[in-house]
Amino acid sequence: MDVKLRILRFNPETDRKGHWEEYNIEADPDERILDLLHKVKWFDDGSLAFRRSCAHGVCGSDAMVVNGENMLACQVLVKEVSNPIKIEPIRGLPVIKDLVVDMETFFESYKKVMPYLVNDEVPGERERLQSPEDRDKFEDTTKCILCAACTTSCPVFWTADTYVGPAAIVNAHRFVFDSRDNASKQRLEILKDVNGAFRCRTAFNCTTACPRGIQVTKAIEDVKRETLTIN
Amino acid sequence: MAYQEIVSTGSVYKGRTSMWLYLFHRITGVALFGYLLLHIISTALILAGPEIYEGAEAIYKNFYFRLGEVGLMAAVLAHAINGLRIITVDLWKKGSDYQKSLNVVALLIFIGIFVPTTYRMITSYFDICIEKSSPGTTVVDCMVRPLPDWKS
Ligand code: HEM
Ligand code: SF4
Ligand code: FES
Repeated sequence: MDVKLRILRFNPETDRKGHWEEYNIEADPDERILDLLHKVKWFDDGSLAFRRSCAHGVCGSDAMVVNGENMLACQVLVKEVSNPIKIEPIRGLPVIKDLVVDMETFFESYKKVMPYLVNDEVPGERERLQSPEDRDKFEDTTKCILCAACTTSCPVFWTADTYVGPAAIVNAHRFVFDSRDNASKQRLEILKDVNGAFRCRTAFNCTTACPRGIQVTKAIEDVKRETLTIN
Repeated sequence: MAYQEIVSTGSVYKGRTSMWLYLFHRITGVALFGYLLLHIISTALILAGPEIYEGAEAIYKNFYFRLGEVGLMAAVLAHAINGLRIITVDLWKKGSDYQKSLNVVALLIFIGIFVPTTYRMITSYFDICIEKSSPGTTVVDCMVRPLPDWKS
């Protein structure tokens, strides 16, 4: 089938503003959006810049706005979206070139919530034990691949990158509700801040955007209520 | 080499209902705040004397302002009910599981209060208008012009 691909291009050396460029491509309905981008880059215009690595929805490199919604280009098939296909960089982060954005603030926020296990006690003979029920409390938030689809779908984040954003809160949730972790209080102190969990205005865009199907807003709400338990 | 914060050129993010409710809540919130300021200024005119206060009040006594009041009531009501919905999503453990149903519930509560209240506001306007105006005044008269002989 013939596909019309419209890409929001930006060249930092010559442009002051993004502009749309159109490409007509022959594609199979079962091909992925990422395959279309490859066709443009490999056979039409080598200057097109975008990130991808695994091409299988694992690395989280290729989140972009496809027809107005955040998704991973490697996870969505041509037949699943309407034609023409409009592609833009994810929002709220500075664009470096075309679909490549500067993820610095995103990862700064991620680091801020201490996304690692904190426990100085000796684990004992073997591993730290945990009941299946306790493990279930944070099962959903272990699935995050840090693609930033959630954070850059958030209307609060678009206008205020000081907000830590959904992804950081998801990764805080991962450890806050882990019975083996000892730093929940510190994380909750950080997330109690005006730029923390309560900056969320429950627009639910993040939940729709997450390519891993994580109930992102639910995790944020869990964290909001948990911040109320510390003083 | 310049970074560009926003390259997006006039395309709207395709959020679902809750994204629009977020925008709606902010717009009604800011609008109500603006109204409140004007309202305080208007009522504060009483400090300048009853004649000046009455003079300002007289401007409001016509059907167009009554329609505006219906809009104001709708904005307060919608903001308040949506606010309670947001509080429910925030504080109820299962709130985010049922967020779509909560949107519908909020809409139904809004309609349930908005319709009878609007009816009362409109009919009472005509009742008062006809009662206080010179004999022979019709509903249409009440609608098309402020009534000079309508004293509070
Ligand atoms: C009548 C009862 C009211 C209730 C139950 C209510 C409830 C709320 C709630 C829960 C929020 C937080 C929204 C969120 O977290 O996303 C909020 C925000 C707000 N409200 Fe109200 N409100 C009421 C009346 C008013 C009035 C009279 C004004 C104007 C003077 C107002 C102005 C605002 C503003 C400006 C915001 C900020 C919106 C935002 O952050 O997006 N509210 N309201
Ligand atoms: S929560 Fe989902 S959308 Fe957000 S960064 Fe993780 S995988 Fe991506
Ligand atoms: S390229 Fe790795 S997630 Fe899409």
